[in-house]
Amino acid sequence: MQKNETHNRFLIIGEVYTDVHLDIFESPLRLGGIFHSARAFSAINCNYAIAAIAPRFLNRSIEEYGQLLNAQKAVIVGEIDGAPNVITIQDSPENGNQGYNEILRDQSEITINQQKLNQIIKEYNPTDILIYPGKYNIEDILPALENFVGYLHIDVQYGVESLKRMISLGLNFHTIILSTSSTLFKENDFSVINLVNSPLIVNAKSLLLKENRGGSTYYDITTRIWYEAPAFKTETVHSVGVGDCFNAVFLSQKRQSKQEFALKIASYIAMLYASTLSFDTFKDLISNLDFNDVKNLPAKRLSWGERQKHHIYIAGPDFPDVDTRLIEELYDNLKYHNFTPHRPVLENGIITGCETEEKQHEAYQKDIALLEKSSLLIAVILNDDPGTYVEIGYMAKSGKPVIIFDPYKLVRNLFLKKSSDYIAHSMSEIVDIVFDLLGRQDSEAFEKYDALLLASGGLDSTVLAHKLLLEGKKVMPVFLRYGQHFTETEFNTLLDVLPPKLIPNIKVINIEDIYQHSQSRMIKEPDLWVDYVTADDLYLPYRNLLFLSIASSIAQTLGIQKVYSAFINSNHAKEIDCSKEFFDELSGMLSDYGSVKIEMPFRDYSKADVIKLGISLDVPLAQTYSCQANSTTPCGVCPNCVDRLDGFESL
Amino acid sequence: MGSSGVGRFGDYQGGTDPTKDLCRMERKNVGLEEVGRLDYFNVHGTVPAIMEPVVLNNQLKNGRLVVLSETTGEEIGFLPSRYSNLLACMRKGFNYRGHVVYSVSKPIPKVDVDLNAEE
Repeated sequence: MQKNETHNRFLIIGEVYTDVHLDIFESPLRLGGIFHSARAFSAINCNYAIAAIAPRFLNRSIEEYGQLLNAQKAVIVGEIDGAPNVITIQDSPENGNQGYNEILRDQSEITINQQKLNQIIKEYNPTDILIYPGKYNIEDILPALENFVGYLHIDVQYGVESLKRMISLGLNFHTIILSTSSTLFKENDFSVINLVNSPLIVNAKSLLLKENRGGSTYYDITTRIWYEAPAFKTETVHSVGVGDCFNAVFLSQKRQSKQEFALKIASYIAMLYASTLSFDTFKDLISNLDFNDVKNLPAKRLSWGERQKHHIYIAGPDFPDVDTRLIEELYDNLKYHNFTPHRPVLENGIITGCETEEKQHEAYQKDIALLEKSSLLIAVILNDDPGTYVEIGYMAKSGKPVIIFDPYKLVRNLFLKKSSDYIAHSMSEIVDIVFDLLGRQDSEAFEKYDALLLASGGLDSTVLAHKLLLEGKKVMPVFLRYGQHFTETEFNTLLDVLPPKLIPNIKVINIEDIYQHSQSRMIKEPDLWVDYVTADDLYLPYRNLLFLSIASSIAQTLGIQKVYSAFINSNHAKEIDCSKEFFDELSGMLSDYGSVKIEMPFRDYSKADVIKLGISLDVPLAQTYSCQANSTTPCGVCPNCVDRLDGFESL
Repeated sequence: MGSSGVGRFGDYQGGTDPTKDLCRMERKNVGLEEVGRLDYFNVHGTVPAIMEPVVLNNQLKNGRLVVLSETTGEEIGFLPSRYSNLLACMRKGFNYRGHVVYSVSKPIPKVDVDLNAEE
């Protein structure tokens, strides 16, 4: 395993619980509370010690398991009386609210042994102290921290009041840690911006916000720099203590890695922690892991704020005569994770068939509008409901993701199976899949595009775009604004004729200044009733040289290997940089002096060949725009128009 | 009337683990990514046939887990990011073999595989 090479010594202060998973058959009893961070420190071989606050009956277990987990010291610094510190958990994977219940919580009385706490801080001399507030009086630990000069971190998931008291007493923290399900986040209206401007946070050095299955954010308050990292997915067994595991790994890694990598490594280790209840299995999984491999692994990011923008259509028999508890649970769980779910029957009304035609039509149109604005559809198959099947088909045809939630394994039909992206049988799977489908791929992890295409909305580049997509290439269309008077027509056409999948990838480059003094009729629009325009009047010096150089520069910068141009060897184009010979020499030179290769797959095609290919690919040829002389209507006489018309004519 | 219960804290040193082992779980119908841009498709112009044996490469490609044809050794497609947990399993000593369960070349090359763990 990758050893922790720093000389950090972490001291964890907080309560020890007994975790009881009610929803997992024959689950082991586990020591909870600060032991979750202890497991992580142990698994990554980091130096640490425990200052535990616990009921007396746990003392022996704390010492025993502290030793097993290689804690350099495990000291009981506080005693809990009157309550067993047992937490029951109803929803271990945290599909929604976890349903924590702390038995006899209000009866507990806690005594902190300040002498022992002082002693362990003095003897262990930690570089970092990680505090987990709880039921104990936070003022009782402050005297021991007075002379501490290292890094102080606090997880305020359940300790906002403690944080407030500590801040009011002048304590400054290096890291304030919370998650999106914490009270502090709620008090700030679930807004990251409100949070960083909160008086509780401003005096800290940094803020760590864990966003559950959507990733994490770290804000360096001193430099005002945000770092974020994606989350890794797994078959989530439990989410209990996963955040504490994350804390330990992140804090131990952040001084030896870049912040975003520390977040990512913490995310990976926390994912492994969530995939098992066994410490031995967890440790085994990490033992041979090279953290450098993790840095480049792809994962998905879906921030808390982004999730709200995703409308999710819940299709299903959401009717009064059906047991809809699963639909309700799904709705609540999606809300819990800050998505915007919809139950169309509740929102748009139930139609029994007895309503007026107008009312039925209105409800139908509202449901269609809801489908249109939704990012994905989850169909809950509770019975044979035809409405649900139609909604699945509608969404599948629109190209948006469809998840089938089939709790009773009723789905047999081929069309149902093939129209969906996923069929899930449990709530946990559903939540995982939603994050996976809507999350953004971690962009640093791999080369995102393998083809850069110079795209103008013209016939040739549009056919090429469709061809490349069909070949499975990841295409970045680049549109150049070089001052052409038909810019808006071209760009709007581009949006209409490109394959919809490529629209989000379009990159617009503005080089308008270069030709601002040109007299070319591509810059200054002629009045075709008055002005006589020849091919020479359309010439722009070195236009194609410029375009290909720009495209190659972008491609090499982004690690894209190939630049595609839809150049064809026209008989009508007269520009000197529009000949086959010119392109041969230029592409040779660009690849000789850089890593980018110029591809012109249509260089030996005629216009008719391209049109035939376009027809076979179902390209909307009629909507393309290629005219160089008129900004709104093809002139029919410029070289591009002539080529285009001749091509159509020759079919 | 008797009672039963959990005798000890149990997640350390041989304690019970009621959960399915992350590494031993079969991964079914895994839709590979970027099939159209990897070796197998580029060399053959088509996708591997159903039942073609496949193996998860122990070496990462550009930081990603990649599935190879066991017959030709060529790269077929990347594992989606939700299977990144298999990296830890491979480093622990597991290998993953299986076969193609679905493949089409058009309109977009697509390959689904089943993968089974081998220790």
